[in-house]
Amino acid sequence: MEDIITTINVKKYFPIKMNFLQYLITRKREYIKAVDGISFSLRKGETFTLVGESGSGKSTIGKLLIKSLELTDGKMIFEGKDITRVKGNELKALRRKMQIVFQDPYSSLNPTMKIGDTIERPLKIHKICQKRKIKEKALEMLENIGLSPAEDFYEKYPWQLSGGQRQRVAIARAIIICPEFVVLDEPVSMIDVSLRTLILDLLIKLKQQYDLTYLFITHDLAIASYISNTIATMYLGKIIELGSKKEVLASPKHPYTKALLSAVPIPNPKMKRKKIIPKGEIPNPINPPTGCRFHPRCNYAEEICGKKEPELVEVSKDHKVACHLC
Amino acid sequence: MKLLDIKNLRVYYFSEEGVVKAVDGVSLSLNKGETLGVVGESGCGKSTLGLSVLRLVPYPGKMVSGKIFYNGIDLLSLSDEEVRKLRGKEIAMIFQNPDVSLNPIMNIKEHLVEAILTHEEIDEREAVEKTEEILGKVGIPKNRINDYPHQFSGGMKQRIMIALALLLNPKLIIADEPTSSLDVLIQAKTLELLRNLKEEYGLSLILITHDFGVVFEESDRIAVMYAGHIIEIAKNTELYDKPLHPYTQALIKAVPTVTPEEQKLNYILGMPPSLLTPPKGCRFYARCKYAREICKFKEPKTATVGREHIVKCHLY
Amino acid sequence: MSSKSSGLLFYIVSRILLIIPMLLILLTLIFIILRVLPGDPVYFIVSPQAGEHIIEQTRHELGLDRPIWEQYVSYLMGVFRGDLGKSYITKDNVWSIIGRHLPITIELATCGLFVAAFLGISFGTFAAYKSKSWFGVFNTILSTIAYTMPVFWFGMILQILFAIQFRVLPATGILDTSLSITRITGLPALDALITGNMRAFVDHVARLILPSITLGFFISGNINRMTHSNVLKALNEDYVRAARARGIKERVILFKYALKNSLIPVITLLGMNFARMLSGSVLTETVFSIPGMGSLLVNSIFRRDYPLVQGIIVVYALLISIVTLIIDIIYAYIDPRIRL
Ligand SMILES: Nc1ncnc2c1ncn2[C@@H]1O[C@H](COP(=O)(O)OP(=O)(O)OP(=O)(O)O)[C@@H](O)[C@H]1O
Ligand SMILES: Nc1ncnc2c1ncn2[C@@H]1O[C@H](COP(=O)(O)OP(=O)(O)OP(=O)(O)O)[C@@H](O)[C@H]1O
Ligand code: SF4
Ligand SMILES: [Mg+2]
Ligand SMILES: [Mg+2]
Repeated sequence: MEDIITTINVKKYFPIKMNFLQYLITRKREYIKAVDGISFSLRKGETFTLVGESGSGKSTIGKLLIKSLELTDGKMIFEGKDITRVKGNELKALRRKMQIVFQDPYSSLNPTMKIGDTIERPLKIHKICQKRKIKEKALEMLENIGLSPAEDFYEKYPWQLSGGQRQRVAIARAIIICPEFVVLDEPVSMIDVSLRTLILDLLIKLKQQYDLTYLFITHDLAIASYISNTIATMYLGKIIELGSKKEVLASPKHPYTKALLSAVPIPNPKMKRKKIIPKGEIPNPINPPTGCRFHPRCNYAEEICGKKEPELVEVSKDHKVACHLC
Repeated sequence: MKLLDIKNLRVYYFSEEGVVKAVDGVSLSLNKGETLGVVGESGCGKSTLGLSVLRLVPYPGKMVSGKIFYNGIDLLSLSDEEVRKLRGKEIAMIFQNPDVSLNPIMNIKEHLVEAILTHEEIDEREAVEKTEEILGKVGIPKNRINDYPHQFSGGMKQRIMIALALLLNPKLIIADEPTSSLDVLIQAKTLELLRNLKEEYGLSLILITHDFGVVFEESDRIAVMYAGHIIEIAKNTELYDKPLHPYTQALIKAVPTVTPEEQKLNYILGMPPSLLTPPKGCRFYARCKYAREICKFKEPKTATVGREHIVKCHLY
Repeated sequence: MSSKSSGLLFYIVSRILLIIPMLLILLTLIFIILRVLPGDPVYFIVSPQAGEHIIEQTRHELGLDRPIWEQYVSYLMGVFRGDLGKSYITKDNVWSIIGRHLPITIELATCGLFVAAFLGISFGTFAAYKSKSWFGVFNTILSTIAYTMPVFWFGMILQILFAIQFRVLPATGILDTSLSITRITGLPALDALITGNMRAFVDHVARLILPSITLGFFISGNINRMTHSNVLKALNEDYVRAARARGIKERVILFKYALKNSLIPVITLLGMNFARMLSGSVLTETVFSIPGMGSLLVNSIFRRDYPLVQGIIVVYALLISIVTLIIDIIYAYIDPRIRL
């Protein structure tokens, strides 16, 4: 299958705030290296899931891909076109094809707009469908996403909704215009398990129906295993493992991915499993460790790990790992 | 000894469209040192219940009836100032929405130091030390304490909220989805931190979450909410082995697991009822496999089955 | 932009550079408008009944007989050399005329700003805090009165009350005729202080009180409303609820959380009003007989004193640019999310 998005060595650094005096004294700018050289491709029609450490740059990647953040360095290609620096009308056209569900459903909904208006807005902005059909479409979407009776929710304001209800509004807003590519940043974290499955299934159905591509970000590996085709693990601004769902879940290679999988809480109070919790502190993206970024916490680390940064290399078909020992 | 005792609490939102009966006759108690998990459908009133304990239900919400006893004191009879002194110091809350729960124009250090100095008479330097220590425990590096909320990731903000709640060693923490944006490793560390505090200081915890893994690993007892009611409370293992309420049974079946294979998940057909016009009988009636005639017309009473296993269903 | 501080410098420089094209456009516009308006400046200098010869002579002296574009170019050249020309009427240098009127306007505007900010922000905040009490209602009435009441009328009422009835404050002017202030900076109050002329200082400040209140009260209406609604909104924010859950005192919540987060639009409004006050307040100036920029502008337009009108516009543009620049810097100071 063809690639829809490719990123080549993408970086995003956030400058650290300094006051004038500090700046005069140090004369050195420090950066939070949120995303630090990442290359990957999304195939059209797949669900690519990013999992990994909190603060490792997952949301930042999502925002870079839909161009709501400018990248510091690197290149991005969408449908064969270089979109690294697109602006103006081209960008607007691109926005129509790319949507995002932000991690936080609270700050991303306009508090002064009713739910109905929020959902209809993208239809109006991009002039997707006939005027008289807009409301019908919005109501149908609300019903689909489990906000029923839809008429009731249509008239509500965001602050009248619970966390999970807001998340669903955010999802509805993003997929109502059937974009080609959607970034879903923790879209169902506040929704109960039963409804969550319903919404995941809806997402899967829409994907098949309209040939959408998803970048899915989640901490819940059960969700990842339910919805993904490809899974990538991130650690401190880097992708450290990437492969098909089967490969990554059945035979994780990177010590961090292994630890992650071992620590998934089991919904069975009688089963206790030994969790592998990496030792040491969560490192700092301002000056990440040399060599392999995970080496200070890795149980298997050898001398080379602290010296040389491992590349993300293919270890078997559909499976890449960045670890010296794999 | 009961730390918290909620009796027949009703909290309604008097919105323009009508009265949303978000918490509608909930009774609940919590022992010292205990963790009570609260699970349930999205929008069934879990957060509202948590907010009531701190007397922080937002406008147009009102506590309509019921009583909340904390350590034997009737919280609803206290003055505003008395409640304020309890908040943060005795009872703390971790909010579901870390993104908007921090003041955007205050940096992290200011948040924590302010909270310490509000309740304790120590000098600022000590407060800063304490701040750094607690942030270290939740994995926020020292050199970022001068950063502002928008500079942190979702999970980092959540950890900052947790740090804020733990700061003053409260006796009771109401944790509303405290780990929903944390990776499982940091989540495990955070939960361990909470567990240690429980052992050390006898902290009690109300843990609201959608994550059944977390609930089953952390809770002593679990309460299941549905449409403003608590429909089942039982000991952790008991609820897993012998869920009584049809909703609980269906819910547990719907929990996904991590597996490389394709999985087929169950879900509960239909939607929960509107809280504006809840049905007269059992609120789960429309979706229940075992529903009988009586369920449609009569609200089930709360039955106690075995030891400490409470269920609200006509089948029992 | 890489680092905050170097960014700030870059920002300030680029903003200052932006003033140049803005001035150019503004001056061109005003140049055209003035010349399109009916009325010939010459007739304000010599009587229309004077002989043809004298009229032509005057016209020549003023350079008004040259082609329009030539006048335009030479005027612009002058401006960018810092020369605003001479008044047609008094033949004084435009800079020095403005120099005589601007300081008192700056003083009045600053005092008015403080009155407006103090009244508007404190009342607005308190009303939001006590929105359900009688104070909320009272404040709504007060703020409505403030910006619907005619300034002229309010100024006179104050005069009647405090100057005529109670005789506690002087009614008009900026200094008693028996006093004088040596000019150093141009700002009378400051100069009086510097020279240690306390009698003049007290007299001058006393005369500023009523006009400042007149001006400030009028502007406080809008500030009040804006503060009220923003603080009310901020008090419903989740971070306020979270702060309450930590037991933070209501007073702290009100100021550090609600008010400070609401301040940005309020400061914008204050800044805009300050800029407006700097361009003079004809009504207030008239009521209190203050020789400020407002009456200067009106008079110079009335008399078609082209260089003076243009000069005043240049000064306004500069002042407004400075004020907005300062507002932006204040923004960045208050809100860390704003990077300059
Ligand atoms: N606007 C910003 N300014 C400065 N730093 C930022 C900004 N946005 C993100 N960061 C930093 O970049 C890093 C990565 O953040 P990001 O939000 O991408 O993490 P994440 O992987 O989504 O984490 P989480 O799972 O906790 O949401 C973090 O250290 C964060 O503090
Ligand atoms: N301010 C409000 N006005 C009107 N209705 C409200 C308001 N706040 C909440 N509600 C309603 O009250 C009900 C309970 O909300 P609550 O936030 O307690 O749910 P929750 O159980 O925490 O859900 P979630 O798991 O999705 O966070 C919801 O149906 C919601 O729509
Ligand atoms: S490269 Fe070395 S340090 Fe890094 S994960 Fe592999 S073994 Fe551990
Ligand atoms: Mg994130
Ligand atoms: Mg909630």
